Order: sequence, then structure tokens, then C-alpha cells
Amino acid sequence: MKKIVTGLFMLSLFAACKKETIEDVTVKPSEGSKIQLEGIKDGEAGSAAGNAVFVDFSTDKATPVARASWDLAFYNGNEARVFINNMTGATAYVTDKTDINAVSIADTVGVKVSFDHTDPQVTDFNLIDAVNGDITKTVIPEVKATDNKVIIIDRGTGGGTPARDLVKVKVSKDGDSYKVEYGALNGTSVQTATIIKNADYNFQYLSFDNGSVNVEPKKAEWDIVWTTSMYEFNMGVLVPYIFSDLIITNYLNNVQVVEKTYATEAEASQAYTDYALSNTSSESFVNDRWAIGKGWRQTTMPGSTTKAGTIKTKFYVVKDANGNYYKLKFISFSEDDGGQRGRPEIQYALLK
Amino acid sequence: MSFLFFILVAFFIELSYSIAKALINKTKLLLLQQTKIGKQYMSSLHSSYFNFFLKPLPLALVGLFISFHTYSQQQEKDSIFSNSETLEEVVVTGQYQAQSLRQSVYQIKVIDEKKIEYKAATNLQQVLNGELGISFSNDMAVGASNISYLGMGGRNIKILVNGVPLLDRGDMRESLNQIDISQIKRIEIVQGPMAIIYGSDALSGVINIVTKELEQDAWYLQASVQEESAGKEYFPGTKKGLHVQQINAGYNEKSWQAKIGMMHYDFYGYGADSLDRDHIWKPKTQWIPSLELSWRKSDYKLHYHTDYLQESIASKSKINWGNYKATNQYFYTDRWSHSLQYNQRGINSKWDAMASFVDYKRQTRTNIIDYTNKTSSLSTRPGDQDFSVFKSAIFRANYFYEWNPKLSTQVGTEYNYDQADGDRILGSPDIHNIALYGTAEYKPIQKLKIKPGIRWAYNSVYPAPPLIPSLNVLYHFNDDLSVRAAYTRGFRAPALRELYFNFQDVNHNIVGNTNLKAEFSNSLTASVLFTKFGENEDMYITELGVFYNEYHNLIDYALNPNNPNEYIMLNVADYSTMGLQLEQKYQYGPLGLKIGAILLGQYNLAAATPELRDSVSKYNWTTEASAEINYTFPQTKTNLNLFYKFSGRQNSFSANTDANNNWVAVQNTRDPYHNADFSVIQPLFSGCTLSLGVRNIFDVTTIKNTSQQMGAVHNTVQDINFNYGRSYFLKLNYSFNSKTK
Repeated sequence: MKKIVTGLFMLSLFAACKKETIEDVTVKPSEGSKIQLEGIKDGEAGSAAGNAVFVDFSTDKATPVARASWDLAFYNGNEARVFINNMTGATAYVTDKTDINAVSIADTVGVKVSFDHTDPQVTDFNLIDAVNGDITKTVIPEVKATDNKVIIIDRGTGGGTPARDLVKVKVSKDGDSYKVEYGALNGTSVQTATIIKNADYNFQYLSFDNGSVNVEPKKAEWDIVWTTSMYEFNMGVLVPYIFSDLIITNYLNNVQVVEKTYATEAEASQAYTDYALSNTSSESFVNDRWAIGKGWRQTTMPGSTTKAGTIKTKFYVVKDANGNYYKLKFISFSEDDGGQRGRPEIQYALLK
Repeated sequence: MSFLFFILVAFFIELSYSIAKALINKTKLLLLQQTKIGKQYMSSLHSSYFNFFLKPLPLALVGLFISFHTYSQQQEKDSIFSNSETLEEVVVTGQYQAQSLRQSVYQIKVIDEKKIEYKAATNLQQVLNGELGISFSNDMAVGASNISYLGMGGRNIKILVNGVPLLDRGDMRESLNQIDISQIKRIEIVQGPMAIIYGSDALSGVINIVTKELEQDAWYLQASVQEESAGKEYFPGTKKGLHVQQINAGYNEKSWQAKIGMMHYDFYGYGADSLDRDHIWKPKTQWIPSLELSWRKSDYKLHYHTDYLQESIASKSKINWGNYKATNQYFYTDRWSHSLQYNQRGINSKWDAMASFVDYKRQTRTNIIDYTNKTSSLSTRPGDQDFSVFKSAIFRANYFYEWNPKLSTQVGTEYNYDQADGDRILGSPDIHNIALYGTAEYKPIQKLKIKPGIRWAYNSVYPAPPLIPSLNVLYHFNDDLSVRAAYTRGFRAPALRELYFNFQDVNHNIVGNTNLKAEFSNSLTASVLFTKFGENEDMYITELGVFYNEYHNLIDYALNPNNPNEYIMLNVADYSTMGLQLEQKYQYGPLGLKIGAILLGQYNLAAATPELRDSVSKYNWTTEASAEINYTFPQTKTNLNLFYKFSGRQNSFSANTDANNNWVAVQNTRDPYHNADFSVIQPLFSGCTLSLGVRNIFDVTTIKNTSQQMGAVHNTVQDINFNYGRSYFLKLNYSFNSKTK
């Protein structure tokens, strides 16, 4: 009897351990360039990828930069404006004091310096730069030569960024330079830095830990950046919300985009293959920071049947600042579409 | 042909509706406080197309009802304690000893072997989905399904096989479809909690599966092959469709019995793309070998049962033509269960003891296939490779003593051990549970049975609920007419996965809570049972029941009050259900008929928000109606069966806030649907039987589910996957029994 049972068990074991068969599929050579964006900084989970990756289509260059490596971005254009770090979800509160030494932890009593990311409110937009990237609508007021207010900054914990202490900072304009004073809010020492505008770049960057740092490539040398960023979300009303895997265009350097959507994957694939320079004349390109945004991918919740992945019924046409046109499609975004979360694959080709 | 069929179906809908309607009139007194029920019910009747059939048909029931009313005035003929009727359905769940349904103080619904055969069911879902109050929801991502009974999900339903609980890894009662169905003799569904005897989880009800026993001194062999299409997809053998083979063999001598069995279930999946990937319904394979040994003497019996389950479900994503990659995800379940039962009979006493052990392993494996070089590699995403282990041991012992013909008692003890290990569980927690319980059956007069019970429990992790009481009463007006009434308290102990849940990623932070209390329920049921047995197998049974259940401390995710960035398991919700159900069964010679209807009210969750309390009703009402008809041609023994069930529109509401931060009720509506099966069973020669039939005649694949904010124009529609469509089956069964030969 035992033998029979053992036999049955063995049989069932063999039956279940069928070898995985890999179907025969014709693999066509891909046209254009394919790049895998290296979003993983240090073995972290892909959904909390530590890097932002800047991509330049004309040179096939992808440049990873640690999202938390900077705190302030100083605009190199005509206006004297400063961005806080959207890539970590930093927030800022403008005090009514102009003496940085007079600002301490006591100034945070009863005011909102940061917000609860699990329960964002409409009013929390007041703590961040305009989501649409409007350079005139930063949370830090336009920088003047004198009478600038001291700002308290929460450096952000978005996308798995470790929490750091609050910082106080004061920026003043000095001709074509920014003069920065900053220090720990609970400390007594204040450091200074001078940031000189450089028209080759959109921004110059400062880290509260490392002083002046390089982040963005030269403005003519990138078209899109893949990153986690502060964005907005409709929870009945629009509220600020941190999203991973967003695509931001180089809108400040007039990179323009048109989104192409089709009914089926096969149609989209064919249309992508057929798309040529001649097609671009009838398109209306837009210069919008979020022209691609989160529209290229879908995410999933535990238990949901929707698979995380790129939306394969879409592709994009990108016009760079030099007037070159590229067709761009997103190949993979997560393990569910054969890729790896945190290391998306893109494919693009110059239109001739 | 199809027209005839339609008429037949319409007839049964009408019949059951009319009965329900007539009964509502009769029971208005009972429902005085809930006048809404009546109104809503009537209006739903008028709005439907059933009006078309309304006038001529109630005549049919007048006859039935006349009999119902006159019987109460009839003389008592036979003693209710004479065992003259051997045809009656016998039940064991919660009983001191096997006895007829009429003698049971519990309200029990029985699904017998015949019905399973008539349905040619390949799993329990195909049997149970025709029952009133029972529905199944399908988790398409993992290829599993969960039962719901009287508005409560699987985790509040206790599933037993011969009194031994089945182990499930989570809230879903996947185990219902992990049983060799050919071994089932009977399914007993008890409405209301049976927590006194069976402990945790039996809040909404108990489903006890009773397996077949062999005849004395006989060899036995039974084998079957079944081929079934999955909707329009079918290919003979092992490709598209469903293929089930099973074999059972046994020998029963005076003192010992041995039985072995094996079932192979092979579902190819449904709705795949041209490369056989991206199935809507995931492919599933099961192997279930089993072995049973028992030793019997005149006054005791020792019984050992073991079965093994190996299940494999495959989820293959479509190929990403951008990178020529795809994922293959596999879920493997290995379950090995053992149970040992011992029964001993004295003169006025009885001992029984049961010990069981289950070792359950579930593996998730995810491969990424690269078609450019035909390689397969493991995915590195957290959770994609997992090995979870669950172990459970139960010991239960009962002692029954009959003090005198009026009073019997039973005392018992139960010990439970559970251990879990795997993804989303913190550490390798274990839990011990000890319970003592007792029941008594007191018959002050012949016609009256009173059965009180009480249970005390201790748990090693969470504070176990204090004493759990119950009281069941049965009164026989005469041989044919009896009433039952019960108050029972049920509970569900927090499961290890709730006490020690652990899931963190960048978007989620959900943890368990060892301070959880048990969920508990108060349940009130009452029913009237009327039975009439005639010549041969003729019979007529009507049962009308009402019930009210309230559930407290239901466990769900909620924001941690002490840490707003963390979700935690908390005892948050209260819930209640109430309803009315009627079933009639009629057997006259070769014709069998069963009709029934249920009106189920489920608590409106939006009413829990004070701001909305006045704008929504307290309960959402749904109706279900069912009809079964079977006919056996006396000459050819050809047996025809039609099963039909109608599930009415189901509304539910949830509370939400609008753009102005005002509370609004969001209405969710699931459309009504019809489900019908038809089968022909033809005995052939020397033990062979051929069954063929069609399932899901109405070809229902998805059911529309609409959410709409009250007063808003826009709505969202999300279809519920119900089935893969109308399917056809053919089954060949062979059975040999040396005794009947």
C-alpha cells in the first residue's frame, strides 16, 4: 500500500515539474537606439530608485544623478529664482525674518513646514514650487539684492530618501550671482556660498552637505529626464503628491513633444515604424514640462489584475532645441513587462 | 427548443417569485419594522419582465400552499421517533450522532451525492454556485476564487471535511477547490455560527463535507474521465479546455477498510493570445492522491485519512515586443494533510477524538524570459520569489453521555496550533489556542428539544473572547411540521497574517497588530420546516427561514492613530445582514423539483457615516431565486437535469468626499445575471454511466459593475469576471462494487 502511495506522490511530483518551454518567436532587429536608464543608485528597490536619469537623444547619452544630491537650483536665466528639490519632495516655508541668525526651531511652532504625504491637502501647494515648473511661481520669492526672507527647508523624504534635519537658508542677488547663507535650523553656524550664473545650463546647483554640485547636463545636452518628482494627484481635488517614474521634458530649453495614441498595440507598433519626418509637419507640438509625465506607464496595486508596465499603445515625437525630431517609445518599466523597475528601457530614432 | 427552454426557465422564476411574494404577505407581521423590504420587493417585481407571466401561474402554488395550511390541522399519524423513513436526509454536522434533518436542532441544507453527479461537477465551486446565498468571486491575478455566503466573505465561513477544518493561506477559501470531489458523499451547509463546537471562523456558517464510506465486505472500484470545454475553447486530451480524471479503489472487510484515490485536474486556461500567453483565466493543474484506512470493532473505530495536493497555477504575461521579453509566474501549492479519528461507543456514552496535521507550502516563482537568446532568468523584484509555509495542528475530543431519555450532554476540548512563515509575514510566528466547551440536549416533552451550549477559549497571543454562548430550540407540532429558533454567538480569531502582517515598499507601509481582538457576531435564526413523505421516494419539503446577523470588530486596514504614515490591522467595522429564505422540494415518482428564493439585506456601509445616515437606506436588498428540475425516464433510466439560478441586482454604497470636502454616497451596482446548467445522465452497461451537458447556458462572461456618485453624471464601469462562457462537458464513469454485482 505504501509503495502505491509513494508511487502516486512521485508521479504527481514529476507531473508538476514540467520543464518551462520557451516559444519560438521571430526577433526583428530594432531600429534606432535603445537605452536602459540606470535608475538604481545603490541596490535600493526599483520603485524608490535613487537616481534621476537625463537623456540626450542627439548624443545617445544617459546621465544618472542622485536625486538627493542637491537642495537648491539657481536659475541661470534673466529672473533671479531658486527652485527647491522636486526630486525628493522638499518643502519650504518662508519666515518673516531677514536675519538668518535669528531663525531657529522656535520659528516652526504653529506653522506648516512640511506636509503629510499620505494625507496631502490643497493648501500644501503653498509649500512647493509650481508643479508646472513656472519659473515665476517658486515657493522661494524672487531673489532681490536686499530684504530677502529666511526660508526653512525640509529637504524631502520622497521616493525612499532618508529624512534629514531642517535647514534655514537666505539667498540674495549680487549682480549675476546668488549669495547664499545656510545652516542647520537647530544649529548656530551659518555657511555661505556664491553661485555664479552660467548660461550654458538651466540651473546651477547647491547641496547643503557638499556646497556647489553638478546635476543637470548643459541645457543643450539633454531632452528628457526620468525621475521621481513632486507632482499632483486628483483625490477629489488636486493635491500635491510624489510620483515615481515621471518623465520631465527640458521645457526651459524649448524641447517640445507630441503624444501619439492608438487603439491597439499592433497599430501603435506599426505607426511607430512608419512614422517619418514628413509626418511631423501636421503635428502640434507642445512645450509642457509634463507632456510625457506619467502618461507613458501604468502601475499596479497588490491584488490588482492590471500589470505594471509601459503603455504600449502610445509613442511620442520629440522636437529638440536644435529642431531635430525624434520618435520615442517606452519599452519596459517593470518586471511585468520583462524589464526591471528602476531601470526603464527606452527606444528612439532620429527622424530623417 | 430554445423557446421551450426559455418558457421553462421563466416558469420557475415566476414560481419562486410568486412563492416569495405570497410568503411576504404571510410574514408581514414578522417584518413590521422593516416595511421597506416589502415595498422594495414589490416594486422590483412590477418593474421586471416577469409581469408577463404573472397571472396564470400562481395557481400552481395555491395547491402547494393549501397543503401547507391544512397539515397543521391534521392528526398525528406516526411517532416522530419511529425510524420508519429511511429516505430522509441524514446530517452529522454538530450532531451527537447522525440523524435525520427533521431531528436536527440546526438549520442545515444538504447537497447530496446525486446532485454532484447530476451536475457532473469537477470542483465544489460548480456545485455550490447554484445554492441560494452563495456566490464566488474570482481573483484573476492568482487564478483563485473565494466563496461568499449570506453576504460574508470566505474568512467568516468554516470549511470542514468530516469535521476537520481545511487550511487556507489567506482570507480566500481557495481550499474549497482543492478537494477530490469524487469522494464527496454529502455537503452540509449550516446557517449561522457553530462556534461552540467548531470554534473560530464559523461566523456566517459552516460547510461540512462528508466523504463516502464503503459497503461491508466489498471490493470497490470507481473511475471517471471528464472532458469539458472552456467556453468555445476545447481540444481533446490535454490541450484547451478542462480535463479531469479520477480513480478510487477500496476494500472493506469486517473489521478494516482501505481506500485509495487519485484525482487529476487539468485546466488549460482560457482567453490566451495566439502564443498561448496572457490568459484571462489562468491555467491550473492539480494532483490529489489520497489514502484512507480504518479499523473497526463492535464498539470502537479508528480512522486515518491522508491526502496530498499539488497545485500549479501559471500566469504568463504577453510578450513585450519592444524588448522581446515576458514573465512567467508560477504559483505552486503543496499541501499534505493527515487526520486520525477515534470513536468509541458505551451503553449510554460515546467518546470521539480527532487529531489532524496539515503542512502547507506555497511557492511563487517568477521568471523573465528573454526571446532574443531564449533564456530564462529569475526576477529579482521583492515578492516575485517566495516560499511560504503554514503548519496547523488540531486536536479535538468529545464525550457524550445520555443521562436519561430527556437529557444528554456533551463536553469537549480543542487544541489548535498554527504557524506561518513567508512573504508579508513578520518572522515565523506561532499561536496556541485551547478551548473547552459543552452542550446539552434537553427534551422536557417529546415535541420539544432545547440545546444550550457554551465555549471558553484561551489564546497565546491575543485576548480570546470570553464565553461564547448558544441556544437552539426545536419544536415539533406534529410529524410533519417543526420550527427551529436559535441565538448563537460566533467569533473569528485574528489570523496569524493579521497579527503579524508585514508589507513595506515605497508606497505602502502596512503592519499587523498583536492587540487585535476577535471579530464576533450575534446571530438570530428561525425557520419552519414542513415535510411530507409519501409512497416510495415521494416527498414534499418546504422550509421557510428568517435570519438576522450582526458582526462586530471586523478586522480591516486602517491608518495607525499613533503613526499617520502607517497602515495597521484594526478592529474597525461593524456589519449586519438579515433576510428571508424559502425552499421547496418536491419528488413525485420520476420527477424531482426544487425551487427557492432568498431576500438578503446587507448593511449599507455609507450609513455608518453620520452625515449620510439620513440620505441612504440602512440595508441594501438583493434577491436570488433558484429552480432545479430533474426527470428520470423509468424505461431507459435516462436522467435529465436543469439547474437555474437568478442573482438579482446588487447595490452597495460607500462614503466618500467630493471636491468641496462634503460627504457623498457612492453607489455601486452589480447587474443581475442568470446562471443555468443542463445535463443528461445515461447509465450504459455493466457499471458505466455517460453524462453530458452544458454549463452556463446564458453564456455569462462578465457582469457589469457600475460606480456612481449620487447626483453625479459620470460613472465608472468595471466588469466582474464571472466565467469563461457557455461550456459543454462529457463524462464517462465506471463503477464496480463486488457486493451489488
